Amino acid sequence: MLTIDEYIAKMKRADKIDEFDYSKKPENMSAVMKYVMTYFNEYLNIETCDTEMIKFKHATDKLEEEAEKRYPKSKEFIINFYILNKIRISKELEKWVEGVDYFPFYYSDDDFSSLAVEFCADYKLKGVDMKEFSENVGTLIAEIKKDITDEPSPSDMIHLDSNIVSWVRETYRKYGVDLYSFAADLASKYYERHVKYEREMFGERVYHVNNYNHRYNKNPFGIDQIYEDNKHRPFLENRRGELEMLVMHEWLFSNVYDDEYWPEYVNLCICNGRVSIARNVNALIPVTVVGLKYPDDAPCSTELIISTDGILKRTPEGDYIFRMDVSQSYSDAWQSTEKMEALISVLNSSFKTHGAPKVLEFTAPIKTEDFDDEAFLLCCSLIEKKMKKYAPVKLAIVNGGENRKLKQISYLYTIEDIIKLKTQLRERKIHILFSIDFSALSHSKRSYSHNEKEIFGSLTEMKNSIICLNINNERTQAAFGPKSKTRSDDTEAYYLNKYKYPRYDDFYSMLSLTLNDNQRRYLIPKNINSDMELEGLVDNLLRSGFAFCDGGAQHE
Amino acid sequence: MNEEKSIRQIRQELYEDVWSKPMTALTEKYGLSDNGIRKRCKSLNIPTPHLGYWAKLKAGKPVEEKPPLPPYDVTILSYSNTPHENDAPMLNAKKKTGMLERYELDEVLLEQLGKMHGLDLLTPSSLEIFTDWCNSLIVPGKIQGYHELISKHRAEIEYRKERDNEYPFRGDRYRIWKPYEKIKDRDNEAVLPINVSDKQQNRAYRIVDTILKALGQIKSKYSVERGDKDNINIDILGFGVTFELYECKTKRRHIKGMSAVNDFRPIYEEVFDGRLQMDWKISKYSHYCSDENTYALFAYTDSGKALLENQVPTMIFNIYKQCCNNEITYVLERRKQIVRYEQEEKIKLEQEEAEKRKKREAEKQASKNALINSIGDHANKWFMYEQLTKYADELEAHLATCENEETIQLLKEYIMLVRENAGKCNPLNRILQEMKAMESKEFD
Repeated sequence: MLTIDEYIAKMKRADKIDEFDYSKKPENMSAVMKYVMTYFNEYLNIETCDTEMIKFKHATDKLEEEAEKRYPKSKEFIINFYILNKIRISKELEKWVEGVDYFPFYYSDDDFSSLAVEFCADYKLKGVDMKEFSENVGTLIAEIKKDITDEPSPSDMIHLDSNIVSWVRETYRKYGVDLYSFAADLASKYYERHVKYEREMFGERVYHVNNYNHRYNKNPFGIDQIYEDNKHRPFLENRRGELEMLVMHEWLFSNVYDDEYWPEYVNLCICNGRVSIARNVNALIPVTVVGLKYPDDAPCSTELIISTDGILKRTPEGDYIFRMDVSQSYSDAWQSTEKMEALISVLNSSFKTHGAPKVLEFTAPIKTEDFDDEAFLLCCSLIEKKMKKYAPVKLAIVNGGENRKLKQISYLYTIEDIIKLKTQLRERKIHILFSIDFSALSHSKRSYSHNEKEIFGSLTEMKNSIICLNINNERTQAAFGPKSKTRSDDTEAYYLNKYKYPRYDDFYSMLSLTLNDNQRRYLIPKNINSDMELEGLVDNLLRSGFAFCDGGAQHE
Repeated sequence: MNEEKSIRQIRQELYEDVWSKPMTALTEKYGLSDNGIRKRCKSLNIPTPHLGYWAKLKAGKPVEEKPPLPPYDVTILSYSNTPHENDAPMLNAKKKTGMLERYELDEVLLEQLGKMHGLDLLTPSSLEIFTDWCNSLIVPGKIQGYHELISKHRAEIEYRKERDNEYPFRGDRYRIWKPYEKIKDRDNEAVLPINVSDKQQNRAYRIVDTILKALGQIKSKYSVERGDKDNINIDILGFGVTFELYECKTKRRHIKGMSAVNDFRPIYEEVFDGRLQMDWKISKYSHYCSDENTYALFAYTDSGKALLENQVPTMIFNIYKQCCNNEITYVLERRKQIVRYEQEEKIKLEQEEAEKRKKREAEKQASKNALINSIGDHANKWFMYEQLTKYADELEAHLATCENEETIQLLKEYIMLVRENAGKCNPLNRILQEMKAMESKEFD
C-alpha cells in the first residue's frame, strides 16, 4: 500500500509528467488532481485497505531506520518490543535517563545493568514482565549513553590547562564520558537559576544580572556533593578540583563573562591544593633587590646582583640573576668582539668561582649615530656561544630608557626596537631572551596611556621570549561601567554581578592578559623602597592573576 | 566668654534686687512681669524669697535668711565609689554625688593663667570628684535601654543592608528597573559613625552608649547632623568634639589561622580583625569664635593590655582634660589679646601726642622765623614813629610861638594828624601780640 505521495510519484513516473514544463501547466495540474481523486476513490478502498496496519507498518519502518542508525545492537529488541506493546522503548528510556542523576558519568556494564534493573522495576506495563527484558534494556541504555555523548572539543576548553584538557579527552576515550558536557550542563542549570535579564531604570539597556556568588566560593555549584556521589568512578578519583575547574571555566567564559577572575581562581586552586594536575597561570619567581623582604606567601630565594665590571664579589646565598651593566667599564662591549671577549673572560672567572646564575642579563647598549647593528648581533652570537657551557643559564637583554642629561637613548628604547631585535635574533637563531623593564618602556612614548595597548599587543606576540619582568608599584585603576561583550549580531550584551566583584583596568590586568600562560618568569621589583611597598606590589599582582612560586622548574 | 561675664553680672544684680525689693517693684526696671522675673531667676539658678516674705518683713516677723548665690551652670556628677565588675548589678553599688566646679578664669591673674594646664581649670575637690567619676565609668555587659542615637543607628544599618541587597547597583550609574518596591530606596540618613562587623556590633554599641551617657552627665550636648555622612558633633565646654568607632582591618596573610587553604579567599583581602578603634577629634578653637580647623587627635585601640571598654575612663578623662586645656588656652589668648590691644592703644596715643607736639614746635618755629624776618620792618616803622613823634613835639613847641588864632587852630589839627600817623607806625603792639601767640603755642 502506497502513501499518497508515493502514489503520485509512481503515477507521475508512469505518465512521464514534467511539472517544470510550464507550457503544459494546465495539463499537469489536471493530471495530478486526477491522481488524487483516483487515489482516494479507487486505490484507497476500505475493503482492501487496513489503515491501522499501514500506519503501524510505517511506524515500524521508521523505528527500524532510526534504531539501525542510533542503537544497532538493540534494533531487534526495540522493534519486537514495539510490535508487541506498541511502545517505543528507546523513547521511554531516553526520557527516563534524563531523570537519572549523574547519568553522563555512567560508563560500565555494571552501571547500565543496575540502571536496567531499576528501570524494569519502575516501569509498569500491563501484562508484561519487564524483568525479562532487563538485559536488553541494559544494552539499550548503554547505547543511548553512547549516542548522546559527544567527543569533547579542545576548542571549547582553550583557557584550561593542557593537563585538564588531556584528562577530559582521556576520560572520553577510555570511558566514553564527556566531562565537558556535564560541566556545561551544570553551568547552564546555574545560569537559568541565578542569572536574570533586567532592564535599566532610565533606558532600554538590558543587563544579565548574576545573583550567584561564584568568587572565592569553597563549594561552587554544589561540587562537594557531586564529587562525594561520584568519587568512586576512576576518572573522578581525586579530581574534585579539576571537575570544579571545568564547571567554573564554563560559568566564567560562557555564562557570566567574569573572565578576569579566571587566572586568580586557577592560582588559588593550585595554592590550596584543590587541583593536582593544573599548573599556575602567570607564575612569577620573586627576585629580591637590596635586602627587600617579600611576604611569606611569596617565598624568595633568588637575588639580583648588578655589576658594572663583571666581577662577583661574594658567593650568593641562593639562586641569583646577574645583571651586567655595560654602561661604564664595558660601554663598547656591544660594538667590539674583543671587548666582549674580555668581558666574557671576566664573567667566566666569576662563575667558576661562585657558580653560574639562573639568568645572565645585559643592559642594552646606548644608541649612537655610528652604532653598528651587525657588530651588535655578532656580539650577541658570541656571548650565546660562550655561555652555552653554563646551560641552563638563560641570557637576556634589558631594555633601557633615556638619559636626558647626557642626551643618550638606549638601543632598546621603544617596543618597536625590542620587536626589531627579537626578529633579528630569531632570523639568526640566537637564543637570547628579554628582561622587560616596564617603567623604561612606558616612558619611551610621549603618551603612555595612548600607546599602552600597542605595547602590550606587541609583547603578547613575543611573550615566549620574556624571562624577567621589571615592575614598579604602578597605581591601580578600577574599571568603569558594566562588563560588556559584543554578540555575533554586533550588539552589546552587558553583565552585572550582584556581589559587585571589583574590576580593574590597569597595568596589572593588562599584563596578566598579555602573558596568560604557564611559563615561569622572574619578577624584579623596581623603585620599591620598603617591604610594605613590595607587599602592595605582590598583592596587586595576586589580584590580577599572578602566582608566586619558587624557581624549581624555571621558564618551562 | 563676654556673654558669660554679662550673665554673671546680671545674676548678681538680679539676686541683689530680688532680695531687696518685692518683685512687683522690679517690673518697671526689667520690663517684665513679676512672674517673668521669677522665671528668669529660676532659669539662672537664683534663689528667690518665699511667698509672704515681704509681708512678714513688714510686720517685723522673723523671715528666712538670704541664701548665698549658688554658682551658675553647675555640673553634678553621680558615681559609684567602688568600681564593680562588668556584669555586676549597678543597683547595689553605693552612689556618690559631687559638684564639678570650675575656676572663673577671668578672675585669675594672667601670669597664673599662663601656668595653668588641662584640669587645673577644676577646683581641687572637683578634680578629685571628676577623677573618681571617670574611674567609675564601666561599660556594662548588658544594656537594657540603649541611647536613642544607638537605636537609630541599629535601625539605619539594618535598612541599609536590606536596601543594598534589594538594589545592589544603586551606588553605580546604572540602576535596574523594579516592577514594585519591596523596600523603599532612599539615601543614607546620617547616624552615629560606627563601622564594625556584625560580630562586634553589640560590643561597639555598649561602648558608645556608655560614652554618650557619660557625656550627658558632664553636660555635654551632642547631636547627629543631617546629611548622608555619618557623624556626631559633641560640645564640651564650647569646643567641638567628634569621634569615629570602627573595627580595624588586616590582610588575611597577617592573621594567624586564616589562610587561603582554609577559606579559599585571597590572602591580600582585608578583613575585620575584631580590634575596635576609636578616633577622637577635638577642635582647638571654640566653634563660635574661630573658623580655623585645627584639631587635637586621640586614638584608642583594643590591645592585648586593655580592651577598648576598659579605656573608656581614660578616654573621657583625656577628652575633658583637652577641652579644659583648650578653654584655658582660649581665655589666655583672649586676655593676652586684650593686654596687647591696650598696649597698642597706649602706644598709638603716645605717638599721636608726639606728632601733635612736633607740629606745634614746627608752627612756633615758623612764627619765630616770621618775626625775625620782620625785625627790619619793625625797626623802620619804629624809627618812623620816633621821627613823627619828634616832629609833632617840635611843631607843638613852634605852636607856642604862634599868635594867629587861625594858624594855631590849623597847626593843631595838623599836629593831630601827624600824631595819628605816628601811632599807626608804632610796631610795638603787633610785636607783643605775636610774641604772646608764640608763647601760647608752647603751652598748648
